[in-house]
Amino acid sequence: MGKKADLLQGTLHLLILKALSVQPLHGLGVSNRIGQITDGTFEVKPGSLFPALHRMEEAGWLKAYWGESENNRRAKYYMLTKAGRRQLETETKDWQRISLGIATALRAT
Amino acid sequence: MRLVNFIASLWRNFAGRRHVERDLADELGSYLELATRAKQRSGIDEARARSEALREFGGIEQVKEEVRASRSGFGLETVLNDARYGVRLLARKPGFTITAIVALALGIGATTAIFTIVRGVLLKSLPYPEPQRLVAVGELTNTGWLATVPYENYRDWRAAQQVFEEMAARLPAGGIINGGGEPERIFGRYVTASFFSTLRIAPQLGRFFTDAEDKRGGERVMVISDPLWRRHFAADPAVIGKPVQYNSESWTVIGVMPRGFDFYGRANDNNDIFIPLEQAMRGRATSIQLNDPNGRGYPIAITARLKRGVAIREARAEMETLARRSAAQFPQTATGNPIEVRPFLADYVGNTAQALAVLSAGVVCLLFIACANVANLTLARATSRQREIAVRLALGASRMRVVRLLVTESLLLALIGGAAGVTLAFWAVDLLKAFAPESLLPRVSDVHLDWVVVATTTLIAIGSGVLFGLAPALQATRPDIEAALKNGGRTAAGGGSSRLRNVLIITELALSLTLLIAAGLLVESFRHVMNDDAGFDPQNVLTFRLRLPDAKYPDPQQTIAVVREAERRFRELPGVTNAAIATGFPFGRYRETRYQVEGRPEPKSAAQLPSAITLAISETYHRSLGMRLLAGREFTAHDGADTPRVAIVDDEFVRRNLGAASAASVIGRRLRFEGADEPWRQIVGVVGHVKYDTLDEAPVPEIYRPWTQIDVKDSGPWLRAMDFVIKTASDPRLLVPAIARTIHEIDPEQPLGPWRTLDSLFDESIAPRRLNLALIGAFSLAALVLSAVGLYGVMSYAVGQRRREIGVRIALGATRGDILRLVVGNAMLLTICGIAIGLLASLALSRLMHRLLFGITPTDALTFSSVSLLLAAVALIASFLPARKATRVDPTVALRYE
Repeated sequence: MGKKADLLQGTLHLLILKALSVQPLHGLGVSNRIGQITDGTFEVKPGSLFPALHRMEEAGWLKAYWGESENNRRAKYYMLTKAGRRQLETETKDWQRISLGIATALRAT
Repeated sequence: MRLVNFIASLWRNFAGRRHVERDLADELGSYLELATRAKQRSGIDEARARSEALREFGGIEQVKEEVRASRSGFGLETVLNDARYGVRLLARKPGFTITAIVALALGIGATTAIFTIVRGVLLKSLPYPEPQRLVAVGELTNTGWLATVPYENYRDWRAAQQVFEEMAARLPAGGIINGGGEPERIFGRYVTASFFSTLRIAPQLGRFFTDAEDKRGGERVMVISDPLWRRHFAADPAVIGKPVQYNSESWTVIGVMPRGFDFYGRANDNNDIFIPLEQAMRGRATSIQLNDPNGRGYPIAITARLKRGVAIREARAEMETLARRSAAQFPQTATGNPIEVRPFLADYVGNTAQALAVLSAGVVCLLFIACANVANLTLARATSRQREIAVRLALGASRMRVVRLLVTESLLLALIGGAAGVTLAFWAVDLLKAFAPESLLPRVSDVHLDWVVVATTTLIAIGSGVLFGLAPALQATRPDIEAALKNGGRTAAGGGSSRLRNVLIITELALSLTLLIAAGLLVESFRHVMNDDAGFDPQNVLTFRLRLPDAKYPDPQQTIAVVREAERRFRELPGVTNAAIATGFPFGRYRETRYQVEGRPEPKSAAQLPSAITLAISETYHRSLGMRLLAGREFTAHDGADTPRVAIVDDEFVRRNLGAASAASVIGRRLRFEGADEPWRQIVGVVGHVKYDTLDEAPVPEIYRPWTQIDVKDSGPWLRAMDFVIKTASDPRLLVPAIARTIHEIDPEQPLGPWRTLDSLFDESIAPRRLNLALIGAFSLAALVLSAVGLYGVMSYAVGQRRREIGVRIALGATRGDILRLVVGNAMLLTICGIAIGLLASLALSRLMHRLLFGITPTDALTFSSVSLLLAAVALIASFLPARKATRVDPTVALRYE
């Protein structure tokens, strides 16, 4: 799996939002999806995943509901709300600006 | 939207708590389940898959805790948890809890009660617009009161001044009102038309009078008070424009004062009616002549409203200039007293301010003592909880978190104590109101506990909770965990914490001493006041007034005959030992008049003549009141209008005017009252000095003259309102019906009462002193008990901590006496420090209360030393009990304990 990067403060929200942008997922699904879309760079542990999910739900970005999992187990699913989509857009823009800035800075001699 | 979300989350997290928790458990369970399945799919057996999933998960409870911590309202939740824990802990230690709550309830309750009174009396604004611009203007007497000025001076000043928006003058008025209900004796004021505009009030009905109506010979119009309107006219709006009989003349009611109108006391009788001031100049008809003998008009009192932006200092400067000009122009009325402008409220509440300041200082002391006491208790307890605290710290609780836990417990105590205190304060304020009528404490009828006070109390409670909780909490969580754990909670009395305890107990003792000294000074003053000879015998004396309206009794000779007849009939009633007529009596009304003694140098201006309390009396007056005749004779029935003018003076008069001469040597000398036509009067007798105003007054000479020798010219005020003093064999109140019957036989239209006994007036005169004494006494007693309990607690605790050391000492041969000396000696050292600091504080503070003292100085050595001894004695007893316990320490047990 290679070296695991520590999650930067604040990037976790962005990754969760991104992971949920395609379809609603349950907790393990979110964690797997993040591993998948970051090529295994990030591994999200339950200890940081669940507090983040709950906090984002309270902020109104996510909506939770109980549903059936792929193998007919009850699981709690999270989906993006409208506010969540807007948040994803803003955070994406912010992130791009920051990473561009940092990349420029690192290129400088 | 955000806020709505937040509130919804809060609601869910608290109200639906159980549901949220179950939901979380389910969610984490299903996560584990899914993770296990995923691992099984990659070919591991179920048991191993589950344990691996669990290991990766990293502790279900920790994750739950982190989720909880991320929820809204998490901080509140910990506080609630801490509070729950605190309640359980407090309930397990009822002794500590009850002591602390009682101490706090006393401190907070007393503070709240006094603060309520201070707020109601001193801080709440008066019921007029912009009351801070109202001032009282007058001549400053050496007793600190504002004296009146001549009416003509007021007129000149009002016309010339630039600093006031408006000025108003007033005089007392009084008489009998007929029509409507029963004939009623009422009191009111003659006021200028500017009175209403100065106060900026509006009538609730009708109108006020105008400058044009306030003229000599103007219409007889009057404004009545709201209470009189309701009481006498059944709140009938048709009273406006209606004629009423006032002193047997017809007056028209033109307006009703606003409801709740307050001018120098709502319960003040002088607010029943308001009539144009210049009506007072109509002479006979209204009893008061504005044209007094020295030609500058009757003395009036002034209220004024400062122009916006004008400071009181500027107004004073302007008035000084104007007063100097008046004095130069009319030297005969110049008294030489400086003019004074002071805030209306200060003039209104007068002496009360100092008493309240002393009481406030007293309660703050008490509150501090209570806090120090509880802090000490908390500290002792925190020390014995050191192990628990150390464990918490060792398990990774931050220091902040543990301090928060301990402070939450203290706050809990403070809030319970505060609630008990507010209850106590409700009760105390009611009690105070019952004991302190308006006459004693101006504006007290307005005083009540309100939300401001309750909010303040809450703040005080929280403040004191932090005050007594924080220091011990910081102390107990000092980061030397290891030592605490090693010692198993039996730390040898930690240097720092015992130092803090000592500081607290010394503070407590010092504050207690300060309070006790204040109480001691008041007790001494009270004793001096009570032992001081009042000069008369107040027992079994009934007083009441007979007022004969001018219009009904136009002939003075007829008036004299009626009063004489009444006096004769009263004397013949069974049970009456003596009856007398006078124009005043002790603790009743009296009047001061300027006088001149024959052969003594005459001052430049008549206004600088000395003044004396002057009464016109019948010949039985001195005997009825049990006054002592020192020389010469009393008046007799023969001293009348056509015999030589005579006077009786008191020994203070002799002392003032003739120095060390004996009383007898003054007989035969002559004196004269101020006024153009006043005749010389021969002194025929000397009586003992009598206190007419209050028991603690500065003595003023007294001159008596036969009431039949008052000159008819100014007979109005003197003859028409005569006070009767009736000396009886037993309880004078039993004679009231018989006396009332007799009065109505003479004149059925006479209003009756108020009936007062000299005993009750005497009691009233010392009531303020008694109230101050009772309050400060109660505070200091509470302080004494609290600090004794505090000292006892500290010493018991120290003995407990030093058990081992004491055991060793005993094992090495220390005797009981040695141990007693050790413990008591320690306590005494603290006590001596406390007393020393307390004495210094008292030296500084007791000066603040000099006006409340009588017969002793604020640094009375006897009081200081005896109170210190008292405190030392109490401290000795409080430390003796723990000391005795120390001597019973069994060395074998104490050492095995190790």
